[in-house]
Amino acid sequence: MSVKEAADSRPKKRGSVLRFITAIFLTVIVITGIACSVVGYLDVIHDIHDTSSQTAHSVSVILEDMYNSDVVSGNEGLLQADFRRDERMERVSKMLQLLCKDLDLVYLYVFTIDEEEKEYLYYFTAAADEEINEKVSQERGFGTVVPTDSFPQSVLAASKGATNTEVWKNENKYGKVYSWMYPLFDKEGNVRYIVGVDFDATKIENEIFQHTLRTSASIVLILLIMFLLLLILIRRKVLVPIKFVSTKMNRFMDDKERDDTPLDISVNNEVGEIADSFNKMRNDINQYLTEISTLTTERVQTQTQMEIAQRIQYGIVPAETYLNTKSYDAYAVERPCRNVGGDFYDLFVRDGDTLCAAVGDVSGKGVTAALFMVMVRTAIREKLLSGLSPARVLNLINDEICASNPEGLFATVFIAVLHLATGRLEYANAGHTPPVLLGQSETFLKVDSGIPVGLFEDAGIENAERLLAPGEGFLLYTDGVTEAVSKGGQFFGHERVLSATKGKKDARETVISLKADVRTFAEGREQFDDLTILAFFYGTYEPELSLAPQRSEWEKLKAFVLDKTDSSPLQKKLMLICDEIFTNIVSYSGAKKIGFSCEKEARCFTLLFTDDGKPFDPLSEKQNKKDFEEYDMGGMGILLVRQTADSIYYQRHDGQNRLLCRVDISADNKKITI
Amino acid sequence: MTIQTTVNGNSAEIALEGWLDTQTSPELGTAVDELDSSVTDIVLDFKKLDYISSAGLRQIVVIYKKVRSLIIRNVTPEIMEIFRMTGFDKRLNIQ
Repeated sequence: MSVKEAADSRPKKRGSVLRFITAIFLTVIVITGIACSVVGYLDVIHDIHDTSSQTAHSVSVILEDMYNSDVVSGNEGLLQADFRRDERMERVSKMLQLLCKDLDLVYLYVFTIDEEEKEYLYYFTAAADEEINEKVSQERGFGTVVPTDSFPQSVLAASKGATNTEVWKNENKYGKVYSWMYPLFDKEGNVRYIVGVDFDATKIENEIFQHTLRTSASIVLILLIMFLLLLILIRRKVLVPIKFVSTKMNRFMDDKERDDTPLDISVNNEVGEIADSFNKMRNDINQYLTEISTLTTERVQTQTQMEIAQRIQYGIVPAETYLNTKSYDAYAVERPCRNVGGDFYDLFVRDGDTLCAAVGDVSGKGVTAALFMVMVRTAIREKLLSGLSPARVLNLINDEICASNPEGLFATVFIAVLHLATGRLEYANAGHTPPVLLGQSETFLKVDSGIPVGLFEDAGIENAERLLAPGEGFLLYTDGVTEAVSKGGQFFGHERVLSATKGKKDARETVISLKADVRTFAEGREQFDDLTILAFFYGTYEPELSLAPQRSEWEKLKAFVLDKTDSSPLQKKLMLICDEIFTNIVSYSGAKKIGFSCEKEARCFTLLFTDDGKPFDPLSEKQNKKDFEEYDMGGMGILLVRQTADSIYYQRHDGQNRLLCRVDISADNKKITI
Repeated sequence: MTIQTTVNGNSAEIALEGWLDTQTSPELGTAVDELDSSVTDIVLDFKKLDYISSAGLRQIVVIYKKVRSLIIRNVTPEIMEIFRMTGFDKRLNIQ
């Protein structure tokens, strides 16, 4: 985890959606409350203003009515009892006080003004309260004159007959009052008096305040309840599920307490969608996690396996082997590909007289293949050392593998055994790439392809043999050579093998040249298979016995062979072959020199005749069975040789006839036809 | 090789001992040539013959063509094998 990611994963101080919504709601409620108060207040004021002005107006109308009816009835009118306290005045006063009480007025008074003298002239003054009524009746009683500095606008307007006067907020020693002034007209329409109607300002204000408060409070309360309900709803339907999802998500990847059970939310909204997405993501992630873990485990296993396998391989199969004496020259390299492969080779000399070479390719890669390779290689070496023929070695190994092969492993192997005394080469193939015959002209040897060991029981791999002349050699390799791929996608193929080894007379040079060619060819591409190359050349041949082309030399030859063999039917067979071939050479070839070697191998005797006479291939002689009577002219020799020997191989090399005969020691050895 | 020749009238018995090979087979030819011309029947005793090669077989054919009757006696299994390889066993009177 990078530093940045680590920083990001630290829990952040986060705001709460609930708090945010609450803040918005409260703001809305406060604003609404204020708005309601303002509107309510204005409304109430207007209302009260209207009511009080109407009341005041009604009072003035009543008084006006009283006055005018009084005049009509012949009385002096309401106020004609000039400054006297009489019964009628008392009645008027009483009636005004009743009005005060009934209409909830503080004061009710009737007056005139003298604008010039700046005086109020009171006629009647009444108050709702009994005591105050008594008091104001005294202080502002009939005929009381009260000077003033100026008249309020409403008084002046009323004195001029205006009936739409504004309220006069007035505070004096009689308390805080809202006063309305209305003119009192006589029949002629003249302003006779001014009627003053006082309302208790404190009471009105209180009423306004209470009314406003009631209205606003109820609205705020309703809003609050709605908001709470909404909040509960949001919390239950959105926030709680979201929190649940979030907790779940956190715990999903928690190292200590991982909870990867699917989300089960029965919410059918956007949160439900989130839950669905989470569940899908959870499934995907779980799948990826499983895949990644499997891949990682596999990779680690493979890597470990590869390392072990490589160590095994390096330990068992040396990177190169170089053997060189007068009679042989052999070199092998193995270059495992970037990991480890099943390629192997073995190259060693048995008992100082036999060069053993094996090249193989085991199926599969990794430690299994490496162990299998080790097993196969060890078995090959052990069996070759015990003197078994290449085919026998392969068949035995095949049987051993087939007896228990749960992994179904198999290997292609080519084994070649060179008998240094004669140059006889035995080989057997178990499904491997064909070898190249090196020396005079490089060609692929036509060999039986055989069956890879480990595939089928009873592989029936057969031995083959040929005679290597001095300077001839063998090239073995794995398919890493022929199947090397160039940048252009071409295979290295067989032709390039031939051209890379053309004219090479030295094992090391041959191998290095081929390896270099493969490397150049596959330049820029990763080597995808192992590369194993083995080459060997047969060195110089020295015959054990040199004979002159004379019949008398037979005794020498006979003594030599008798000395090399013990008396047995086999000895006679060998003698017969030597007798016939020697006689043949002496009689017909015109040779000047005859070379002879008799080699006892593990399972057979081999006889090699060389002579510098005219070319003569006894194998190409037509086998016309002559009539018995014609045999006095000869012609039985080659027939007997062919019948006696288990194999005959002829070659003409470097001006010499080279004839190799093999006679098997044990009769049960299968006869090999070359 | 040792050659023991016993002549009885017109028949002769030649006992061979040792190796009848490329070197020694002319000796058998000489031995037969040395016989009196009246000898018409020859018996070859191979009882002590250890070895025969094509040169020896050739001499047998020469003798066979020369005389009226040729009998080969006491053939060892090894030599019988060689006769078999060449088909001699079918043409010769082997006892």
